[in-house]
Amino acid sequence: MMEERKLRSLISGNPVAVLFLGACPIAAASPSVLSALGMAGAVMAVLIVSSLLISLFKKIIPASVKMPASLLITAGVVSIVQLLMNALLPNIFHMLGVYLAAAAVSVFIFAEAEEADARGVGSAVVSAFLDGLGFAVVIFVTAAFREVFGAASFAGFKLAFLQDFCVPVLLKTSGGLLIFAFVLAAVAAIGSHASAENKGFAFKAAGLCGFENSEKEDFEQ
Amino acid sequence: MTFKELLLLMVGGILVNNIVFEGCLGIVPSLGFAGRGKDSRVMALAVAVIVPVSSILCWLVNSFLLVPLGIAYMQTLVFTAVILAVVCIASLIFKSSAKIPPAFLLLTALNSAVLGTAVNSASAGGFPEVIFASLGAGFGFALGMIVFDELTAKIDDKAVPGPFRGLPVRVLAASVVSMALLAFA
Repeated sequence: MMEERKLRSLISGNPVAVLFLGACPIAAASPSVLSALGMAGAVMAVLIVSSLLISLFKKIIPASVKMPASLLITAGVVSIVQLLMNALLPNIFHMLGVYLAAAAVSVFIFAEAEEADARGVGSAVVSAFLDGLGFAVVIFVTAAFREVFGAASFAGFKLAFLQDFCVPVLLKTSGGLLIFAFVLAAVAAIGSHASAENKGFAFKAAGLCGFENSEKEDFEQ
Repeated sequence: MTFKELLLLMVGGILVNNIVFEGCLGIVPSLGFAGRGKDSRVMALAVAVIVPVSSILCWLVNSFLLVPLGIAYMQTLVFTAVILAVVCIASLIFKSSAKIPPAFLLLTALNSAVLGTAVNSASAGGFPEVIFASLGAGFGFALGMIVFDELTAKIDDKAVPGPFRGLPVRVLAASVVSMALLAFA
């Protein structure tokens, strides 16, 4: 079960690639590997802490205000992460800027929080970690391509032999979306061969985000 | 700032610094809600109203409450609460005009475009700048959503290679539109 869940988070049920959750921070925070790693760390921390808190408080929160309550819990956790990053990693904090705050309402985390209240505390934390890992993989691959081919460097180190072949448009938003589209397609190509059994979460989150019409056909192939 | 400069700020927000194509905020709802014809137009209109209203309210809260009290670091949490209230009221208003479930509107309207604009405008300067910049952001989002809606309708019945079917080709189209908008910069 756990093995299957791991595989699902990384490939066939990757929360970013299949469900398009959290695409805004990926396209925006990936011009350099360092900022991508900062964003991945922040998202993972927010995911784990907020799903822990939501699953702890789920008995107290009435069902009618469940959504607003989980959103506010997530926003509070994001504030804490912002303050910690500002104190400990000021460079990366300024690189991420408004996108770190925007992560607060990113549907990715939102859907994850929704999922957290369906199960126990332990499994909610584990699944948050795995989905954070899925997010980290996609943002890291996207950022690596953009930085190597856009700025001819990797995590700040210059790659001299690529210096004459830079494609600066990759550092712009349009380049980010371009690389992101190819990463999505690559994951879809790998994922269609991997086991894709348990799709409960995938369907639920897809429905939440408005993909229930367009994406179901893709799953059923 | 003169009126002309403010107007330029707004038009620039729609075409040059478009919040979806340049700022990369609110891509999820605008791509996810595409291809629904009338419903996505109502949605675009709703967000175009929600963005300026919530940005102005957030600016007021920030400059008359958070900054005087010295708790500007609570921005993210307080802004999210303000936006939540605005979106709840908007979902009551728009409920009758389209067949969109309120919970769905809540999820789509609570996106990074709204919070991102609010956070940006908190440091944008005076009150007039905030009004025009957030109007530009709101209309820019509506433009992005309508463009994606048309694009999706045109792409979806074409023979797209397997792995690119669905989302990847839509993101690719977004990238091309974003490149086209670079011409205005």
